[in-house]
Amino acid sequence: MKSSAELEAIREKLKVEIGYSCAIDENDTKVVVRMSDDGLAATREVVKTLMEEIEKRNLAHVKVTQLGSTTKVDGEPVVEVMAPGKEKVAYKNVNAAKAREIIAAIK
Amino acid sequence: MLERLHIMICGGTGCTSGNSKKVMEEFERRLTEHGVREEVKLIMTGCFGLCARGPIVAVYPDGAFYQHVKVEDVEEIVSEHIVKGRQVTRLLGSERTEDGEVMPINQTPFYRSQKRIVLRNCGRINPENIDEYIAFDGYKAYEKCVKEMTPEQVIQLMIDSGLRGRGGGGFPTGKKWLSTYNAKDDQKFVVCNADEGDPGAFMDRSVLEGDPHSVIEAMMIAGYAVGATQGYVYVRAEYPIAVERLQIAIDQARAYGILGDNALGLGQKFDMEIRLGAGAFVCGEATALIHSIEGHRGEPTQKPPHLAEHGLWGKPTVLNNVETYANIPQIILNGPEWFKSMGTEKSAGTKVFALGGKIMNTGLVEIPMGTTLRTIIEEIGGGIPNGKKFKAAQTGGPSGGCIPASLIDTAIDYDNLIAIGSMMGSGGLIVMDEDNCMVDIAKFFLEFTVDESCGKCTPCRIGNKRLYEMLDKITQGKGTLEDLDKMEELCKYIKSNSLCGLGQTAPNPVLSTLKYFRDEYVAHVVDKKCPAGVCKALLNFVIDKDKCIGCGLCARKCPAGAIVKTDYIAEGHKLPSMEIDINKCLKCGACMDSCNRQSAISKK
Amino acid sequence: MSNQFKDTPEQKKQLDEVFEGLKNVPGSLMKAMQKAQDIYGYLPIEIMQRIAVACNVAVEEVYGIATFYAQFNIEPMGKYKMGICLGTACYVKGSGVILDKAKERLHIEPGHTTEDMKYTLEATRCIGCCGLAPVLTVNGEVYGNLVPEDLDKIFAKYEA
Repeated sequence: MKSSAELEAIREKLKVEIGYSCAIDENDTKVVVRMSDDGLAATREVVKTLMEEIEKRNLAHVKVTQLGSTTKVDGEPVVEVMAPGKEKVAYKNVNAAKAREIIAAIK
Repeated sequence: MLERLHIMICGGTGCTSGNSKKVMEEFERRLTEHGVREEVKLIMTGCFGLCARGPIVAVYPDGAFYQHVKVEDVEEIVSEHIVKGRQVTRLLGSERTEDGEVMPINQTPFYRSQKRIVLRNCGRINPENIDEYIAFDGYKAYEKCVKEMTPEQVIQLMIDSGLRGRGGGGFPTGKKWLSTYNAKDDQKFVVCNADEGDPGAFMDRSVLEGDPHSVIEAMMIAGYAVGATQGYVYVRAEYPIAVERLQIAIDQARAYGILGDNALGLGQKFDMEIRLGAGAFVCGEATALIHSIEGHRGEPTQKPPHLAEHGLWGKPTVLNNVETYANIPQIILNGPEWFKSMGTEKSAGTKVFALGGKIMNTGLVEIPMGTTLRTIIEEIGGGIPNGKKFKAAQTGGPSGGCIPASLIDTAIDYDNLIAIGSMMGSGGLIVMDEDNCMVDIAKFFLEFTVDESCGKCTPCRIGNKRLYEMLDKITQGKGTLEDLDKMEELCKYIKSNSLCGLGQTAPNPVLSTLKYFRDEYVAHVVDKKCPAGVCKALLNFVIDKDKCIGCGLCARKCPAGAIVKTDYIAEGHKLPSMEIDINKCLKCGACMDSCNRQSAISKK
Repeated sequence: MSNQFKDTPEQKKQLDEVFEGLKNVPGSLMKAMQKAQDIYGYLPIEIMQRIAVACNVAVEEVYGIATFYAQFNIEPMGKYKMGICLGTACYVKGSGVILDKAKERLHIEPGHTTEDMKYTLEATRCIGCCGLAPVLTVNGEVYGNLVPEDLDKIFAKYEA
């Protein structure tokens, strides 16, 4: 048996996850990770960390997406953050530690 | 662990028949093989609506909307997109933006004019997971009603919203609830009409399969508003998957204490169960449906008394359609003004249409009331395939009428459609082109209603049968101009004297086609010709003597010995051409089927 | 109507369980009939009589319901039930032609079963797969986007 409060807890718990069942829209902060096939291994680590941080901070409306290139990307993995109404910020040679900082910087 | 990608695989009926289950299994396999299974959530979701391009697989949040996905395509999607971040362009739609990029799916002509409210969760949740429904504001509307509003206030909100019954009648929902509320009795019922008998309609099916909790929540709200504690959903037997999904949803709601003696601890009691139809179109009619639940033959009874006063087992009953219910949680949460901001003055909100027939983008669409037929056919529907000309669109199924090409700019809402001799109906919208014969279509609908007539009242039982016979006579080439007038008179008689909606509306297709396509009827009775080339008895099979190579295959196939050699040898040919004796011809078409040079024999 | 109907002890047990489960359910007659048909595949008069007794109604009422609704079969069904959808969307896209071809091939009219009890042919109402019109089903499995030539392939599958 669930109470009204428990239902609200479910909504709070799932609010980040359900965002990933929808396409990115104008309210989202888009976090694009760019790499070529050579950078795939490093990218996996970065993306894993980005998702962990998002989950930890319970940040809805922050959407991570991978953009693969057939040619080498200068400074890969590159992470570009596009928040609504703000200028694009690009980070090069991102690693797990940098990934944590990037998410921390998103309000 | 928060998955970075959600792969939504369409589990709507169309895509399921296209093997979407096997596609899902293949994704399981390939994702595991590539070692990325934990990074991805695989969800079988409700109907996306673009049935013509199924099976559909959407990858979010990337927004890749893969179409015509086969099991063989899964490996590429996994290795290229999931692993390497490179979307598989050949499986995406062909629409491009001005910059030459793949057009985001919600900007494509099919989707951009749509407003998915009833269908909001179809395509974004797993319908068999109540938590996902809850996460998208599920059961919040019910909580709002019980915690913050009195039953009277809920009813007033429904009245203010302007919601009208989506089953076809368009009766104001709030008014219906008010009548039921006002009726005094020791027990009341809330019933959902999921019979969806209109051929060509699959809106309700998609809601039940893709978002069953929206119906459960709405019925609970109705129960609270009118004072009922028991609900029934009457689902037609032809929908086993919908029944299964709804039962799972009911079981989950019970397990969470949402359905039961004390919903969410807020003090209200409500439970519900499913009743199956058994294959009778008439059971979509309110009184017939009630009698069917009671375990009898589904024969309609006189109204008044209306169900609000005297319904299931004689008790006050709210009976609403699936789509009507599916609107309600959002109306409660967003308010009546929000709902009225969409649609037209007298037809608020949206309508879900099942677009079928001769149209490129067959599927499920949801549009604001007031959208023109032109937008539906040319933009959303993508036009008529094979370069054919649009002829008419049928709305309202066997109870409705056709909208001819000349009225393509009609804004679709309840009153406009009635004004032109059709009706909204449940939402089936069948598009017809120059190769469809309107007389044949009218006959097709009458054949249906005659078969489905319960037989109880004379005007329907006998009247519609006579109407059918007259139409058949006309398609056989034996009709007269007088017959057209007699039919019209008979239609009016049947409409004003039948006991229930089935009989009363059965003549509509005839009246409608007579009104807009009288010339086609006249061609059938005066010229004994079928302009569209459909009515076999009125067709002549003709051999083009210049194309015929004289092989004689057709003559050998002809069961009537009606094909003979002529004296004519076409230029460049060696053998004399064949000719069909129309007096002996049985119009079976065997000659045309057998002709090696298909264009040599044609129907005229 | 059959007069040589015999059911298995297993089937009888299942039917008794159905009746037990529906004892105090209001309006249970149709439910009983639907579940009985799930067990036996059709409703011979013997089963209708048993249902009448269990639900405390006249057998005429059971028969009246069985003949009213299309889903109840009074005759035994073939091994493969082929349903060709004649809903509007399918009809407008040529399902009538497909039905004619099936009739020709099986030498039976819709609503009947072949002599070898292999196929039952039905012209069904709309089954809601209009996005795939024209459509046919065999024992519930859906085949869509059909052209008349597909019939041969489909039959071949069940002849194997």
